[in-house]
Amino acid sequence: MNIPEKLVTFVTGTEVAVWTATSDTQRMPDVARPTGIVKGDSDDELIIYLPRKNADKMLVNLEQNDQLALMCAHIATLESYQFKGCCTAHWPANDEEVESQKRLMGAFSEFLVQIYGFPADMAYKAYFSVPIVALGLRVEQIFEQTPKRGAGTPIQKG
Amino acid sequence: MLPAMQGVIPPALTTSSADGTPNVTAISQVFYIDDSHIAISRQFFNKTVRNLSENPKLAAVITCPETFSMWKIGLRFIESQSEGPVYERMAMQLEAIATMSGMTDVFSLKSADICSVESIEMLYDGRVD
Repeated sequence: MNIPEKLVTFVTGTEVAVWTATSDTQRMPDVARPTGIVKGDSDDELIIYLPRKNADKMLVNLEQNDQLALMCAHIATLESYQFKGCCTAHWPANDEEVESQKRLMGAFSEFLVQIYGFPADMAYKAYFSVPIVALGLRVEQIFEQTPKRGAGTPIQKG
Repeated sequence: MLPAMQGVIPPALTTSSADGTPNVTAISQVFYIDDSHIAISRQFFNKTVRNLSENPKLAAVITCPETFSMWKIGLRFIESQSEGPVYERMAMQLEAIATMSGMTDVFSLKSADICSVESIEMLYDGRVD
């Protein structure tokens, strides 16, 4: 499913917290905190960047079950969406990708300072580390997830 | 870990359907019951509820607002409670969280989902970094 442009802008922004999830063959789910998201080459693809130290279980799960979920929430407004689909590929992030994630996480951390007063480097150190692994997500479903009545409603195909 | 269960930084919660499709959402709180049980606040949760009816396994990540230390907790769903002491205490805590986040007209506790703690993994120790 093509991702609506406004959601691409939202999910690749510097003001959203992101979480990604997989499930193993015993149906035990796993969750990890990516550093950020960029749009993939096609209109139905997102690239998820994940610190390698938190990715071991994810990568094992994806070898057995390619289903992948991604949740993005604006940390001030709580506007949220969930993207579901399959992992198309994963690769070690190159230097350019790592630098872009450094900038994104730096901006996110600064926004946290503005909204909540957390020390900027505290969130940065918790969420960002190298090396980073990139996961390709082909989006098949998108859901409204803002905490309100209607949360969980599928978003119509764009 | 207790400061991470005050609802200051929303925890992430993940479940899986029986066919292996993961679901991930932010929740208001992971509520401490005792050393081997926690409760999750159920407010909206449609897909999470459906997944738990198929598969009781779930996982949550909680974050300490003082140090940003993070833990991943492996859980097994036991039951939902819509009354009783755990529910009442969670409802009060949720009201405080809602007030802090300006969501008093939105956050309402439907039930306290009781889970057993199956595993704990420290993802990041903010005290030493």
